[in-house]
Amino acid sequence: MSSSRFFSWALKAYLAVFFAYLFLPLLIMAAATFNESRFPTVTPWTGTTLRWFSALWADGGMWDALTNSLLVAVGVLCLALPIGVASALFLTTVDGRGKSFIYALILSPLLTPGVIIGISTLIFWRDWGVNGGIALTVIAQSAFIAAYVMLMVAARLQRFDRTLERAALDLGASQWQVFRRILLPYLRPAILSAAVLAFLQSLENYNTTLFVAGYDTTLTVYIASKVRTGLTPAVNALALVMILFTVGLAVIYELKRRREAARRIA
Amino acid sequence: MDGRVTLNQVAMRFGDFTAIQPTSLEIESGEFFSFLGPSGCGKTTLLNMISGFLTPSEGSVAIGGVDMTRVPVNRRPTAMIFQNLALFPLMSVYRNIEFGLEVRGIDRKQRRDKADELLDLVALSGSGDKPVAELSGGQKQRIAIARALAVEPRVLLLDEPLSALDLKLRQHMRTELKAIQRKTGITFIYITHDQGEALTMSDRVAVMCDGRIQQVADPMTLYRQPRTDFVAGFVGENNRFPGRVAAVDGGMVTLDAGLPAPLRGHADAASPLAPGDEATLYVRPEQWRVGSAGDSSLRFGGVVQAEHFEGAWLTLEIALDQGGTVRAHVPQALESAGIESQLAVGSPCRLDYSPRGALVLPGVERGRANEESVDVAATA
Repeated sequence: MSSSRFFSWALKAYLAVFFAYLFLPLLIMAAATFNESRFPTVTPWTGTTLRWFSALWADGGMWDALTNSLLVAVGVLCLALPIGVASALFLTTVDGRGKSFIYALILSPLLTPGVIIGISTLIFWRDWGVNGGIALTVIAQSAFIAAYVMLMVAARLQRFDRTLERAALDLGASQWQVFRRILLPYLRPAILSAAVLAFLQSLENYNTTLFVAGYDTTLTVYIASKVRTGLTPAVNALALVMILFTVGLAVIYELKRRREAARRIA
Repeated sequence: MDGRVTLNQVAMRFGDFTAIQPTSLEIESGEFFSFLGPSGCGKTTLLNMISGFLTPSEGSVAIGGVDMTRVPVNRRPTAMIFQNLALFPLMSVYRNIEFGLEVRGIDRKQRRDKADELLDLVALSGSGDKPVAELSGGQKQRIAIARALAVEPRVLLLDEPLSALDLKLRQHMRTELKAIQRKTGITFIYITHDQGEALTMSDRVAVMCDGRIQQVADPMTLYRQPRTDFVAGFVGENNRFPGRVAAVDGGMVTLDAGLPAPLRGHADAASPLAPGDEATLYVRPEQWRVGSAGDSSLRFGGVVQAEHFEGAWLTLEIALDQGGTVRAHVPQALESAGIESQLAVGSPCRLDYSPRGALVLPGVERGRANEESVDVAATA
């Protein structure tokens, strides 16, 4: 009896430490946004202010970088999603040694350090007259993000009942109709999660992007450069806005999901 | 609507393996035709060649007199009921049934009318908006049939669609399938390893083994006059007595099988026999009369080795005095006449059969792997 109470207590303590470890830095970071101090810190507390939000608002370079990041992320979606889905579909049609070779080929960018992907992309495309910028960043990031997409789509594809395709063909559907009406709706959840993951991967990428972004600085590159020139709590303000935005989206999604589940039961 | 299916010398080879030996067959329009055989006999391969999923290595397939050999699956006037039904899980019942019409570009109103009409046919009116996941096994079965019929096929192909159902539902669906076939007049081609299904529903049955059609006949002929050793053993049960022909007398053959009395049976008109030929006599379990040890009117003696109660009858495994085991059915009506106490396991008995109920086919096939029949000499 007492030992089970001990374990229950220990579990609670562990959870407390775990969540503190996860969220305390975020809390401190968020709190620093409201500190007067010119450096992002909570000690000493020199006074409460909202001026870092206006500083963020006024930081044109930051807005340009955010715009670039979003453009790159959208570009990655347009490039990596079709490539990833196509390679997942392709892998299910080939067998034997060819399959494992192609599989390894598509996955190899995941195992390659991002720096190397960045540098090699830059060198390769420079020979063709393409210099660093948004387009090249999209290409470089897609190299490995497409592999994530492929993995997620392939996982769902493995559980697909191929007789559904046969049934659709038998009922008179063309190959395109089979893809459009049977396979694509089935893959939709995997493609959507892959899209979210690809978008986030693109936004947060730094080490590959650094080499290929050229003058089109992205948000991560911009923030990193700020570290050298002097970081202000305006960056904390940006982080706070982004966190609130993400959490807001997650809450809306969850509420919607619960309402739908309730409606299904009713 | 001509739903004739003509197979002209079709053969299917996968590398060195021949799945279908050159086969010719004509299936009539509006016929309920079954391919019956053990798994791996090639029946599914034949079905896939008719539906268009496979292109035969040789020969041609025609439907309604039109050559279909090179026509792709989505352009053939056939529809298939798959073994797992393959209903589209993300779609409602309506969208499943309407799928074949939708991909043909038929407008919404017409599609819905057709779907309602078919739901009516399969007795599921009003369930069109349900997701297919909410249907029971039998309902799924009917929706699969409705979906296939929606495209107005000339030939409906059924690949063991009842195998996943429980016994009661399976028997019910047999009646239902047969009724739908009569109502629609469409040619049904049914694949099964279950002889009960093939015999109860079909107008004609083709029994297959090792990529070859053994016999095509109506169910009753198939059971009463099997043409080959395989059919004799696969359709129903049979006791085999291999031996040599001693005398031929009109349609009756006397066989010397090393038993105390000569065995008589009727010959197959298509395979004449002469004295001295090797031949096998087949006696079905229900053709035996089993009596007590003292019944001298019965010519053969044996000992009951095992008995299996099967409801309407009792199956006895009887070791003959001369060696070998036969299976005999004792109907319950006889049982209740008081003979059961004398037929307990281990007790001696007498048995005999009527020559009219036995069949003699030429040839002796020893050691065929077929648990459905008992080779008396081989077990001796």
